Amino acid sequence: MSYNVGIIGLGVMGQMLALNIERNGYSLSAYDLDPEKQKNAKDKFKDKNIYVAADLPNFIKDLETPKQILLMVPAGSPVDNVISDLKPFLNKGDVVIDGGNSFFANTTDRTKKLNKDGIFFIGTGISGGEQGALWGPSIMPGGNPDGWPLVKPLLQSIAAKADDDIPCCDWVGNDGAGHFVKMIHNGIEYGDMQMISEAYFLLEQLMGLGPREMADIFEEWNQGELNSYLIEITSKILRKKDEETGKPMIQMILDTVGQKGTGKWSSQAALDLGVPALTIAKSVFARIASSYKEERVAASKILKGPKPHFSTADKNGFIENIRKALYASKICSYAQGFQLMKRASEVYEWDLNYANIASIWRAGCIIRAQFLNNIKEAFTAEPNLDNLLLYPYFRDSIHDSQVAWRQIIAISIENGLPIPGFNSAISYYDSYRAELLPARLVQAQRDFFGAHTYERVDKPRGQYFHTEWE
Amino acid sequence: MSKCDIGLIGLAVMGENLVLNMENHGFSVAVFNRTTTKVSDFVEGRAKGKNIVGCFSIEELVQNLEKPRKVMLLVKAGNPVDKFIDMIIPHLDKGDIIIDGGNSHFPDTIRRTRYVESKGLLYIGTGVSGGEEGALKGPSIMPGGSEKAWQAVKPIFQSIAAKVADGSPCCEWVGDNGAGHFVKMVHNGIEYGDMQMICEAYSIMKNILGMSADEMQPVFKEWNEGELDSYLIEITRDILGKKDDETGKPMLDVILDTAGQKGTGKWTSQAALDVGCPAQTVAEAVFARAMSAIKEERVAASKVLKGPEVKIDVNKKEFIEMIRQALYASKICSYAQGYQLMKLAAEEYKWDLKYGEIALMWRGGCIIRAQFLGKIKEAFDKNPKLQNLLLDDYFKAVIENNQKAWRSVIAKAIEAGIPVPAFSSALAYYDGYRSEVLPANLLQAQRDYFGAHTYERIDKPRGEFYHTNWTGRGGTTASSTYNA
Repeated sequence: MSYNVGIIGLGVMGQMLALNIERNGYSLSAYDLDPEKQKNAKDKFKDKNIYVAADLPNFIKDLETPKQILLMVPAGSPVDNVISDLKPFLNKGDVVIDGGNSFFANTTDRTKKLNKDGIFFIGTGISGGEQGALWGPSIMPGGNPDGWPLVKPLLQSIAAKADDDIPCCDWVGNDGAGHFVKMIHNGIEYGDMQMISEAYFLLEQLMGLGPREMADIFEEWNQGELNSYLIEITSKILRKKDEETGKPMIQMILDTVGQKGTGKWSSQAALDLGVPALTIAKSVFARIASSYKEERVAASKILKGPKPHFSTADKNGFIENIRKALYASKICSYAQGFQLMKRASEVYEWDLNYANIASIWRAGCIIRAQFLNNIKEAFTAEPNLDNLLLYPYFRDSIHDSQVAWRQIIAISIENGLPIPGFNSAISYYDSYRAELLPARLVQAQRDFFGAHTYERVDKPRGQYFHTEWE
Repeated sequence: MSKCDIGLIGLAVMGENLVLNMENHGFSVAVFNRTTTKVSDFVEGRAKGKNIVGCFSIEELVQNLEKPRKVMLLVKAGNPVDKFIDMIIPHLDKGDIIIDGGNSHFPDTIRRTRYVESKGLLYIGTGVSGGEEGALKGPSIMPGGSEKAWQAVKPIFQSIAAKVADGSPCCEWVGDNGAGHFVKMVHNGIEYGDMQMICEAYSIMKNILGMSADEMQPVFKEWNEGELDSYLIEITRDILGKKDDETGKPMLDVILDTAGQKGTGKWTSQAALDVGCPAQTVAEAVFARAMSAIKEERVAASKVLKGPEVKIDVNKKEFIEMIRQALYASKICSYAQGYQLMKLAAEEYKWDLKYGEIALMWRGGCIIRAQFLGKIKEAFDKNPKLQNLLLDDYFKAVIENNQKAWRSVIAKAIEAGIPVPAFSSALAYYDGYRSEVLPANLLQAQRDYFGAHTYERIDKPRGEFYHTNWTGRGGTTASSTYNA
């Protein structure tokens, strides 16, 4: 008996992917270092064409050649450890796929290192959570391009399919490109979640609406241009009752949120590459701020805000304005994500295909949305588009929304409700369309105290001047 | 011939000026530079007739030093520092001291302290702020590293440091290993924030009130006489008053609006992310510089993307005062973030930071020197365990007094299409910090919905985690590998 595919790492994601692969007609050999997880997997896989091995030699001995081994282990040293354990069993032409949330620079290193031994390393982002992994995730493979043709049938068969039946899996680029794009996906997801939570915050805290009414609003929003998985589940969350107390579930959940690797990595990549992707960073900082619950509760009793002074004669009109603010902010957040990928693609020479990336994200993953069709269309029409904001569809959406958008932010600020996501999105928009920014004063200051020099408006770029200011 | 008090390697402008400053305070200095012609140029030029000894090898430099020997590096941050450390070590004896006075990243300083101490020597990594002029006339000096070395270098450092009005030096021991460079990094991050916020005040005056450089100059002059009194407001005043020799226009109007950035603002933001501190204003300032750098793209976009068509109608004099209040409130929040970051880092890296002393060190010599730092010193003198600057009575009262103007200025700027990311982020910090309730409960619900990440409940003790089966499908196990 031989197995088509090997999988190492049988946590939730690993198990679900194994079942997905098996359902698509492949036989598997599976392994986990942890005997507990082996046992659990054996139960889960009992009627399936999946063999759970007790050790690595047994796991590997009946794999078809060239071997295709998918790693679903925690990012960081576990990936390196598994690779070095596997190494003695691997031959030229075998493919190792890292499907975890690895940092893209590590994936670049691993791709290069394994390539020296003729082993093809693929680092792929996989998004969709538990359900996505089982029924079809969005898959973003990068790494060694010579390995792609070998694993393409496998990865495309288990991926989600968009409405036009195109699989949400296509080659992203060399080295760490796949994990980079997954990292940006997660950064955008941070932004989407933060901005949705700000819309909810305004509906609840400013307008005083209850969960049921808000659920209806999100459900309605999900019928329009905001149509997306995250809006859909928000509506469902708002409808859910707590079994223990009978109260709306949302009111029982503590407002502190964790943040792990990828949002932070996206922000750091933005800082490193000098891309003003502020909305992602603000979303990370908003999560951090939420984690100081006890300090916030104490401070709320000491630090005064403004007296709330909200009233509206046109409730539905105001709700519609919040929707417009959310949509305009979302466009800016995606514009930042794509700007960040564009810069990375230049710096790391990945030759990313933005229309394909939008296409891959249309189904299976957490940020799946109608809206990604518009992005796909934009980059299909203009593959070298400098910025999403410049594409007529998005430009016009923002032009139509901006009065409402500005008004909503101004009202929140005057009422003391923090909405850093919306706020950073509009800063991005207004800065990007500013022919002139006050940075000339920064340059003058730097030249004043540190003789850093500056460029002049009336001289060619690249000529630097210094003034004796005193 | 008697031996020198200290040796210095690296004769760029900063190095030369520090040497001259030391000599001016009665210390003899041996100097060395890798390109030795610089040594000759220096001893025959600016150092001529002074108690400065030119050396042409590391060995010679070391032989010229009094024990315990103190060798200070003013070389480029990064690899050069490690290389010099390795070149110097073989020539030193137990108890000798290596000092890095460059802009090193604090994790490197942590590592180097450990390494140099393992060789039986002592190490100091110190921030030096004040630019070229400060180096010569009195910088702010922020030393950290091997505490045992402090007594030996203290007389030199404290005499060359800037002095505040009461004569106390802007130099005190900061803490173990990388603490000095960390504090210098936060200083620079705060400097990024200050500069960006001053820019936003300038931009609002220019774009909403239509004021010229000439009209703004007296405004900054007046601000510099009040609670905003600081070096950066002072030089802004002078910059606004300066005319371009070539065109006769205000100097500011001929400068291109693209600002460069070096490492420290970015490092501060990364440190904030790493220790989990919501210090977002520095990041905004870094991003604002990044945005300024794509000038051509902005010019093109300005022709495609429309702003709002609104006329903001305000009383000019009153609005200028509102901008001042907004700037001061934002500045307080920016410093509160800097101090929160130091506090979290002190816990993480086990540094015993003295926050009042740090404020004092920044009172003179450095770029962010300001009247205002005296208030911070007072706040920490009153309560050394102050959890957040915002909770101090003085700062609390200022913000309460200013917040109406602050909110109104930001709201008007947004309505007018003028980007004010640092003002907004400072306010978001304030409102986030004083919010008993934030919408993060929805984030938790979403994460639990799609990834089984679990959540805590408001009616159960902290640390108990719950999972809801939201769909009726799916599992009840919590996720272990998928992290969003």
